[in-house]
Amino acid sequence: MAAETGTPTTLTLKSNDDELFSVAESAAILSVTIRNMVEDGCAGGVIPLDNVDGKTLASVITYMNGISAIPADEEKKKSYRDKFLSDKDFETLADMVLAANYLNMSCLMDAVSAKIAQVMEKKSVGWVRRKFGIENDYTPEEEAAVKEEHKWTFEGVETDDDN
Amino acid sequence: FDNDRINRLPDDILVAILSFLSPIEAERTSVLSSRWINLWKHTSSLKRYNEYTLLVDEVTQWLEYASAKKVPILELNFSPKFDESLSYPGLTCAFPHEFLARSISVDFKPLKALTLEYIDVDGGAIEFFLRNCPLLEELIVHESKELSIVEVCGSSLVLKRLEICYCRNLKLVRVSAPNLVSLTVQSLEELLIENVPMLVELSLPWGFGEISGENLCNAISCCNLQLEVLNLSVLKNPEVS
Repeated sequence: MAAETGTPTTLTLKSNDDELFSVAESAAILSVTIRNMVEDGCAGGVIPLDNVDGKTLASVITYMNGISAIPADEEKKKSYRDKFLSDKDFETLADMVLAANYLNMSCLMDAVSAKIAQVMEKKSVGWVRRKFGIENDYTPEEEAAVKEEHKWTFEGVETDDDN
Repeated sequence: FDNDRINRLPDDILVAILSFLSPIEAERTSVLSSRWINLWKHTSSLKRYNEYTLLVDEVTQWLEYASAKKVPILELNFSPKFDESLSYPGLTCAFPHEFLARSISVDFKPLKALTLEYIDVDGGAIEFFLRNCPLLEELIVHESKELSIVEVCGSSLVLKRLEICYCRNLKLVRVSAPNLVSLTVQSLEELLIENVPMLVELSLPWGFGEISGENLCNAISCCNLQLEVLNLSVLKNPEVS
């Protein structure tokens, strides 16, 4: 950009499948994990992020750039987050929440967690099992007992016969 | 399953996700599988959930929870001091009056002690609890803006302790409760004591307004013989003294 104001510091991030990404330091330090590395002087070369794959890291960097371009306006940031997550499937959301946790990015962590929670609301047990890949390991007797213990939580919930 | 990515998340992340559900929704996940049976217990639902819903829904949720769990003691305190991130107009939380009207399935019979603080209950809600909680021995209401007339009257009441304080629009508290032992109200003007043969402790902690010996004697004339403890907290006017 404007050369006379000095080039903004750029960091190079490396995913666990050896993809390299350039990102402005000002955006990357939304991650407390990365910020700590920068502050400790470890950011001179390439920052290896061993728990994040390239596809997820690309998405996280899109988020970092998008959210840091918005001035301090919580409403606008929230609507950006909503839009950013709106087209993500469960698989991607699961990768994102793991990455956000590893990178220590509370705003992304909270937004993805809230998004996953939101789709669970009022859904039947069978639906959540199917969508989340949860194997029902209860015996029929055990499941009936757990259901009985928590039966008050089933009011107003979608029902399905597919347990 | 070809896609079990969510289920493969570590427990602490699943708990973080469940923290964004209401307490009821979070508890229901215990039925998913044996791994999920206790995850919901680690959530801090109340804190996180606040950011994503209205507080009045939360009062409803806790009332539903208390009813379903048949709790004997229910204390709801929505004081802003408890969570500084909360901000709502007037610093009290609305009471879901429609909840009491619609809920034929609501069961507060086992309730023995009820405390409502910073929640705008009105006299009708108080009457609802007195009518539907035959075991209620203790009732405490603080900081309700909607409370103006309270009638705690009934020959079958087992109520032993009643405390109604810091309700700025309070006009009248009428008390006729045969088992009442302890009564705390914010000031004398509002108090109308009728049948309280067991009352031994009367507290007037909010000494706004003037209390003369005469109107005190009048107010408590029906119970002054058996009173053992009288707590008065009076703001003294230095010019008069």
